[in-house]
Amino acid sequence: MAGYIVQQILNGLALAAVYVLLAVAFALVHAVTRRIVFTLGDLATYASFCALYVALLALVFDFRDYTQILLAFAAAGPQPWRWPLSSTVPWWSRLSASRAKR
Amino acid sequence: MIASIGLSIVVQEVLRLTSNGRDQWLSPYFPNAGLSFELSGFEVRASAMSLTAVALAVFLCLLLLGFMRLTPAGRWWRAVSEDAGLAALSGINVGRVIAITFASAGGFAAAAGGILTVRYSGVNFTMGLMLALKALFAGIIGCFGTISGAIAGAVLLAALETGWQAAFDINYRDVVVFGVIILVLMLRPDGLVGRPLRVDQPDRAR
Repeated sequence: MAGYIVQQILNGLALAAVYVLLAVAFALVHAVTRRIVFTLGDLATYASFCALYVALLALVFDFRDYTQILLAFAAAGPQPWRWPLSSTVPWWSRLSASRAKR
Repeated sequence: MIASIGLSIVVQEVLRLTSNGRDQWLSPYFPNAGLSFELSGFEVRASAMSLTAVALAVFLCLLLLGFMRLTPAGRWWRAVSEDAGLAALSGINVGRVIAITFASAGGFAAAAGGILTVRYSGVNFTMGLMLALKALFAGIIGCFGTISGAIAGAVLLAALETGWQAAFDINYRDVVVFGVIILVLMLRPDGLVGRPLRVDQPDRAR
């Protein structure tokens, strides 16, 4: 029974790793803009796809070590959505704030 | 919020078209590597990827908490989250803080996506919505808008999900999870670690 409980704790921690990172992303944005940005979930999916394709590419070239994982995270990290999102949303926030003042 | 839902649908449709609407699967990385030991006659196993995922999440959270406590940018973020108008009057570039916040949030979401791929080895173009809802509710039951609250809520939600599927019927998992979220919001609308909102101090709740 104890072994089963420890196994479930380990499973839960892996699931919590995903939820924690995404919940922190939501909290970060909501704290400064008071808005909920639903796109973050799909951003995670997009990063998943990027990581998957890079990992598949790594498998094709037979990188059988931690290089695959590093490549997958490198692909998921600087995805092209971050720039348009970070540059347009503050501008849009300021615009809607100035409209609200008027 | 409506614009973000629109952008979400655009991203989802692009992913649907690029993946032909099918689930994408990857063979598990290092299936035999990782932690394995016997406890009370039960073989406990944790793959190398699960352990890497947990370690990465812990590292990123500690990094963020340290960044918020120890750096000027963290102080700016806390100032803007308390009162954006007052922060702007104090000389803080609110637009830049928001831009950095969005970039960081994108990075955190991307890390979550990367973990999903290497941990579960399967990707579906529709999973973003459910994932976002669960993470959002996790943040809300913790105390929305605070990092520690989001972490607490997410760990609680994951524990609830895992506990339910370990002991009961997995088909009812989401019913129970969302039922518990509704119950928590009815009993503690400010979240589990949040202080009750006072009418004369609306911004002091966090």
